[in-house]
Amino acid sequence: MTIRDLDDDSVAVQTRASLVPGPQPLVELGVLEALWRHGIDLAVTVPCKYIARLIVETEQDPRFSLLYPSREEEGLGITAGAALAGRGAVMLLQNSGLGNMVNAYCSLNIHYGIPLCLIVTHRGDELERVPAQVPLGERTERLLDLLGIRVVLLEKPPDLARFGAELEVHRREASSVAFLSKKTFWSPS
Amino acid sequence: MTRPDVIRAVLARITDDVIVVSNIADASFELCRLHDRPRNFYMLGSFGLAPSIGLGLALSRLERVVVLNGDGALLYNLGSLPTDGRYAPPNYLHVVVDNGAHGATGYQPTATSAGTDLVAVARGCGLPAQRVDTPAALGEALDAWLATGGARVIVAVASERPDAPAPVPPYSGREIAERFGRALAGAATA
Repeated sequence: MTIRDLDDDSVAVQTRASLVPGPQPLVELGVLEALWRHGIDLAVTVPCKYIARLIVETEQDPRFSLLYPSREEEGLGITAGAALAGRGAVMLLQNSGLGNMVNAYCSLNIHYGIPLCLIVTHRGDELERVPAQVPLGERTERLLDLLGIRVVLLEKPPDLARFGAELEVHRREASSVAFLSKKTFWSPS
Repeated sequence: MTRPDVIRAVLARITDDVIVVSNIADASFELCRLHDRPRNFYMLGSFGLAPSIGLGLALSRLERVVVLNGDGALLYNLGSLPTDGRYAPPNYLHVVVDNGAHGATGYQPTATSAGTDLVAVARGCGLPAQRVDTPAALGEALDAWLATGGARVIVAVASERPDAPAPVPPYSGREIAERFGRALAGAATA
């Protein structure tokens, strides 16, 4: 085999590869692009394993700042401060953390008219392995409804198409939104 | 030293551009009575979140941010100190008026009245921190921060019961947020 043969082979391999449909782009990258396009460059997270990949991608994206507060309620305060400063911010959290934010959401976000953007992983649903997550998991949508936070369900990667449109509504109407996401929306960990 | 003494010492030194976030109840009421300014953010709820709101502001703005907190509120959101120490924006000052009590609810004793040392906790979170017991010492600490900046905690030991209570600020939450937002709009962001 000559050097020339090797070159030809590699060209052939590349050509074949470009014809075969590759893996879909990561849903996490689509989420970050949509956040960025809608003026959000600060992410605050109390993590969930479902969004471990999103957190890594956020950390590695130089356009974003990522903060880890000790608790969700504290994260809510940080995002409210950012919003008051005119900066777009998102919280990444489990639905269990929603329960820790109820008073602060009412007396800060509602009372002062500060909109909140949440990406919430839905623990305690039919896919849950940890029984203690189930009681709040069953009540999560009703809790969000009660708080007046619009719920947008993200169940499968194609739901990414809805994500950008709903972010636009959040920004235009200055209304709070919770993207309630299933494990099946995110890349497998 | 009383809480109004602490607030007066801060107000005497800061310029108009400085952002002030004040804890729920008396700190907000007294700040509004002493000097109602557009860059004051009066908290009326969300107990404990003053340092968190202040951190979000400090990380998003170039101006200095002063948080006027209390010992009970800081104990309620003690997890804010490691977060402050971790991100430590240089334009951030956290002043804790430590009267050892929950003043707004009838002066029930907090853990600082039994020896919890908030300066030691703050230092353990990587934050430069100092305790001041007199208006003169507080003034020196504030002057030092204004000269050098750097995320910092000042614990001002105050008498348990200050002056007569101040009135509630005559604004709704939305009015406070809108006025505050207008004051910041157009100025430089971080």
